[in-house]
Amino acid sequence: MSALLPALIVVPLLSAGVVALVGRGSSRTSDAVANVGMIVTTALVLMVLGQALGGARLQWSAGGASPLGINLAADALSGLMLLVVAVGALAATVYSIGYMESYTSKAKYYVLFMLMVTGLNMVLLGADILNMYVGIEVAALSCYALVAYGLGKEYLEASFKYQVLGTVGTLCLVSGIGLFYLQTGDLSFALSSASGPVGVLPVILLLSGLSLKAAFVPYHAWLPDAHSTAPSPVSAVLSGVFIKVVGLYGLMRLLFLVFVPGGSFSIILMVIAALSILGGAFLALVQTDMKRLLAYCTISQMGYVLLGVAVATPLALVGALFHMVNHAAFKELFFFGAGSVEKQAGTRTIASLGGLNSRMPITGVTSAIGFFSVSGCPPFSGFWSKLIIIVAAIQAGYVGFAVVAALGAVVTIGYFLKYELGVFFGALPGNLTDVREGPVSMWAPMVLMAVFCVALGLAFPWVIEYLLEPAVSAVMLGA
Amino acid sequence: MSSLALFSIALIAVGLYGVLAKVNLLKVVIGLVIMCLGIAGLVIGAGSAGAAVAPVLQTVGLVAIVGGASVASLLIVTAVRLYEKYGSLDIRQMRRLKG
Repeated sequence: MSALLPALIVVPLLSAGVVALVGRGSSRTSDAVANVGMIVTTALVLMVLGQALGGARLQWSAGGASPLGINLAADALSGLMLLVVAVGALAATVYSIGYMESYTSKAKYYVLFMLMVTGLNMVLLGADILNMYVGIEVAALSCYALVAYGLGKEYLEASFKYQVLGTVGTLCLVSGIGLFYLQTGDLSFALSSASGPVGVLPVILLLSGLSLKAAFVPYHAWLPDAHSTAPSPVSAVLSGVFIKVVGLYGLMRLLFLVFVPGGSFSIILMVIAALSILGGAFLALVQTDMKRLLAYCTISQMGYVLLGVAVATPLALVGALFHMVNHAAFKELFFFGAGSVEKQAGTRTIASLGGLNSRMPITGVTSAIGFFSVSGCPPFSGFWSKLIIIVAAIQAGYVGFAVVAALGAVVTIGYFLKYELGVFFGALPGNLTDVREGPVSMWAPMVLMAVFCVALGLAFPWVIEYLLEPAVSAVMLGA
Repeated sequence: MSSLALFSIALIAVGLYGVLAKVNLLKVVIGLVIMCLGIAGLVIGAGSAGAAVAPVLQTVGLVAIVGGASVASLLIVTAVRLYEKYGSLDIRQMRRLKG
């Protein structure tokens, strides 16, 4: 029994309540409460991670045995994901101090944001599929509201679309969970795979539900709208953290329970991954809106992670988890940068921007670092994770999928060159000559994420040994 | 197959038709709610089909109902806001996001 685990849910929940109570009049108070809440959460996550990396499986339960009671557990995989959530959300709350000034009622924003963090932590700490599902629902509900936060036509439209498709996804999950229980008599993640085979139908339902949440092609229709219209700190958390936690994390937990690696479902997952890599990349190529391009890029990069998960050898899982962490770093960086450009220059259409390097040097330099990481330049983090995924696919005999992944990387360079050259290089349009860098609360998170892009790349042998390998052995425990 | 299961499957089919074929935002929401209730009925029915009632499946069904109700309220709020902006509930007129 470790009281740390419920604290990870209670702290963000409590800060949501406190913001709602005291933040009404003053946006400074809301900023302070939300950021302190996230700092405390991050500190708690570090304590949990420290214990989980030592090989311990932390547990806590109340209200009866699994799956009827509330059962929480954390191993190295949950610890790693909790860290990504906490750091990503902390950077976004810091960024919100400056960015959300132009929106009304910061307090309501922080309430929804902290509820989303609560939901994400619930997903990661749930010890069975039912607890995970409740977390997904909590996180998704606050997320729908956050996407609609601007209350303009496109915000509401994106949110409505997201809500309908998200609900269809949760309905798939519910029926999948029901069938899964009927066949196995258990919902726990610690269930041994010897408890009997799972039929095709629950696997398809669970896979569809999680794919809708993670927006793999062809389940991706809602993502470009939702991720590009949401306020930028929310976009950053949605793309960088949210879809990985509600979609991929569940898939990884279920990987060795319901999907037999190497079987036909692995091939289906790999085809979905290849479709996502190429579909996302080619659709990103034709985008004219900065944030929409980034949203399609998310679909493409999630394809790489899914490819690693589907290959399911230890090396491929290391690559998948590494790419997940890297994607969180550079995608948050890009969305923070796009948000700054939008706020300072008043537009996010690539064609009407240009030459911003001279006006917003910090955004320009950090964005270039993100570009090197996402397009896979050697010392930066994105290079190593893509390389590991491709090598692992070849080793496992899936040469075709490795070629697709390499092709996707080339297209990625193409659309990000368009993004970088169109926004930060070239001639500065006359109406943008008095654009300035945003306040420190907006560029500090970008610098932090850029440091991660460089540091994870330089220190990759240690990252893999001390952070990723324990997580992979937690995934493979069921194998 | 019990009559509850058949009724639930019919509800899911009706709900799916509403979500896919209707162009009125509120009818889409209604379809979603019907589908949600159908799935909850199916899961709960499966839990009480045998000699012993399976409390876990009852829980799953209840969670689905609660989740469906909360998302339905949010959907209706969004639909009302969209009506205020567009003066219509017709989904075909809402085409600001494409590509």
